[in-house]
Amino acid sequence: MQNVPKTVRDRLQAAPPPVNHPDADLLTAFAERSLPDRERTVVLEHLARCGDCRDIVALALPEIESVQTTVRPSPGGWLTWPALRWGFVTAGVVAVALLGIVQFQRRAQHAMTASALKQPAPVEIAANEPKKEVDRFVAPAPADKKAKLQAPATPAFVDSVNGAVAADREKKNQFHGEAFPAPVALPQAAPVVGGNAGAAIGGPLPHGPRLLNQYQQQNNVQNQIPAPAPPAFAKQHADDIPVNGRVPAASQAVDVSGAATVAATHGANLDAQLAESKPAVQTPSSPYSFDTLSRAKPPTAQTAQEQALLRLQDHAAPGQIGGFVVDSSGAAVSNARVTITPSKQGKPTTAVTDARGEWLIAGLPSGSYKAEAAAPGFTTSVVALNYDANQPRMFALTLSPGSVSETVEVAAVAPQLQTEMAKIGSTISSNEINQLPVSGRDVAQMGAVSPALQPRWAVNAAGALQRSFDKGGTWQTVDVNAISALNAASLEVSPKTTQARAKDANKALKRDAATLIFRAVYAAGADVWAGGSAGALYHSQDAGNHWTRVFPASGSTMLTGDILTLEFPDLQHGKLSTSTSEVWTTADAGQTWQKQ
Amino acid sequence: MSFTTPNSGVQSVVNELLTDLHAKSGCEKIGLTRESFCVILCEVGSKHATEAMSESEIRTFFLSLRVDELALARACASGINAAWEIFLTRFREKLYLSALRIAREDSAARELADTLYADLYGTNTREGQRVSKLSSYTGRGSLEGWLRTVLSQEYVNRYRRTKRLVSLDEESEEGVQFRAPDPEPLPPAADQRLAQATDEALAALSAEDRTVLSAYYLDGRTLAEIARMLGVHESTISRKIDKLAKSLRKQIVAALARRGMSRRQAEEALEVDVRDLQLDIRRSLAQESSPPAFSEKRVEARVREGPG
Repeated sequence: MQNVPKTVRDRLQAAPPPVNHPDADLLTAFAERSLPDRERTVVLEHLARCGDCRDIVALALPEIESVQTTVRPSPGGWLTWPALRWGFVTAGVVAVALLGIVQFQRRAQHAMTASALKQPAPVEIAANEPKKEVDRFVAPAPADKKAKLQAPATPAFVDSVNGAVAADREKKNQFHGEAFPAPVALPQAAPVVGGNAGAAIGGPLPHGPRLLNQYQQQNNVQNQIPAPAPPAFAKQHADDIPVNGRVPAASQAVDVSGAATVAATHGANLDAQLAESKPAVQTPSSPYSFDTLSRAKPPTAQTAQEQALLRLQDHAAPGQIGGFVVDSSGAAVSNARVTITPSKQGKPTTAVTDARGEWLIAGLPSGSYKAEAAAPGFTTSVVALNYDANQPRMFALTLSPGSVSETVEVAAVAPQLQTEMAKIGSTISSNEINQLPVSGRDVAQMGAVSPALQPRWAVNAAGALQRSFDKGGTWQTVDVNAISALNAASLEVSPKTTQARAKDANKALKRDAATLIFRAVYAAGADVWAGGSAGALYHSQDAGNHWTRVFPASGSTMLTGDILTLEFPDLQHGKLSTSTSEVWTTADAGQTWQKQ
Repeated sequence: MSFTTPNSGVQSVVNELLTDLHAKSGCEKIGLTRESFCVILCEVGSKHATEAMSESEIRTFFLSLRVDELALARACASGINAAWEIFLTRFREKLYLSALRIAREDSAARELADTLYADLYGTNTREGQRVSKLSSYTGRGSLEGWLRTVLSQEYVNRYRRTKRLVSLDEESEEGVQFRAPDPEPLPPAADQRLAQATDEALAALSAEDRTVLSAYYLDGRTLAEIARMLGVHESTISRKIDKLAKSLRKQIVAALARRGMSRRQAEEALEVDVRDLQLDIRRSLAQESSPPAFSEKRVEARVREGPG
């Protein structure tokens, strides 16, 4: 680069200092090229003489967009319509499942397997995507359309799949000594899952050639750039299904079925596909191992955790500290005790996570704290955190499963936890079945008390009690009386109840059946308390399938006011407050109550 | 902040465009009324409009505004909670990330972002009224870009102040006491003619050219950075600098000749001297990696100019 005479530099520097600096608005508009020419020249004239403003403009430049955004799946369109998406997904699953069966049979006869595999892969990365505080839950999600289907692939999950993949790799990888199949760009105009399934399954389908070209393009680009592209998600799920043969829970069903199309292709006979589809697909000699791919940043998809984070951010005001507690699979841990202790001296504050695994503490001063999360069946985790009261920050605490010997619970045997694979579900031992805390020893009911399948609870504006099994996606109204009428014989009333009071209770029951309006609900795992008008208090121990009416009575007084708040920090201790400003507490899970 | 009476041109354009702009802004969702939005538009318009502007220019101005972000910012400045929630969700993380990019160091970045947050929240009061920096945003650029610019301004102000005070320890570290004596300066008369000739040559350049030269030779910015600042391609900047360097030399020699110097004298006056070499090496070294926000040679230049 040519040099200029020193005098030029001297004179540039000696230019008269500028007087009126352009304000931030003007500089921003200048940098974004939205100023008309006349104003732009004025700003440039200032910049020619003002080093500070030049520095400001240079510093304020945005991040350079990552060049990996080579292929953008077509934005939305009619395929984002959920019903249609689901339709495609279901159709794809069915088609692929049938084919998978066929291919499996053929596979048994073939000796050679191929390694090339065409897969739909997303490449969209928003480089400006803000790094969420909880980085743990990276979600390498598939294409934009798929990205709308929530895709929480957690590290544990990924690790388990990596293990499975590695095992598979040994068995299969003999084709040209190439690396394990690498991701393929999603053809821009291709429909969602069903279409890909069709393409990938094989046969001279119209998608074939198009897939090839884009893949090759993708290949060329990706080979040069170490891509944090997250195409491995579909792949991981693909490996998942045939290897483990499990069916994830509803909340993940979409991802699974979405990926199931590729699942079958993977599980299917690869060489058969290869023979039929275009075999010239070159897999890049993986500059990306599964590890790098699996740890990729999520594109625009929002995992459940990110949404929880945002939700908490929305309602945590300055002065509040909160977060959520999850286990290593990413499932929320409810009823976990979170203790926040100041690093310097100070007394600890405790909170208990609700059914969604969230906790919130208010009124702590800024400083550094130690956060300890504990729950039965898990090892206690301790995290140091710095908290500034002016900025509410959310913290995620992860619990790893502990051995049974570390359980604090005395009453029940801790559910056995699979540490290998992160699935949404629990293992039920035969012992547990014999001791099921549900009447009828119905194993199906056990699902309701399984931690991961606990519903969320809410009271709607009309006062109806509702629960949702899909994290708030859909809600069903729960009728406590339809069930509790049957349990009239098991009414829990204070032992001091007299005959008259029992009659009152029955009358109350009948009256309330018509006019029952709920105002408060508190759920801790499967243990649910719901309270409402005229002292109506219901308790369920199985996530709302069976209810018993509870009549708090203390001495000779019965609770008659509307119940407005309910709080049960643990199964035994509870507190409620009423519209008549009464506070009632119990220390024995609602059998006896004391009025404060 | 006091509201100036909007001139009639602005008022009429605002009335004409209010419905459209109001629909675009989505201010009902964030709790801003139509009337307040109208007032805001008038204020923004009258700040910008001059007597000379025609109605069509004013209309173009209003249509180029980002009214949705303007509404959000002003709603936040008024303390509307719904607006704040949206603002926090959208911008909080980005703010911290930008601060980190600017300050390059975590604690400085946090401090920078926290200070800005306090300003945006409106923790300052003037005459009893809460004053939020967001009320100075007028929607000409994106809100995100505006936040970055404000962060940069704060950073430059803060660290520029501290950098100006160079400690004695630093000076001895830099080896100031061992510095070679400055070479003989040019005789004053020649110096003056050279300065004038250079000024003349520089004045003939466009503002953009001078900005590019200053950014490159004074600030030590890379070609890529300058290109992004001006919104052009890097090769454009490279070509421009090459062309300018060649032509400037010619122009200055011609200007010196007009002032009575012979050609040989003029070229001697422009010869690269020892100090130039020193700076060149430093710059070419600095360009291997991205240069710091405030190049060392500027500090050194100030140090030199201090005693000398």
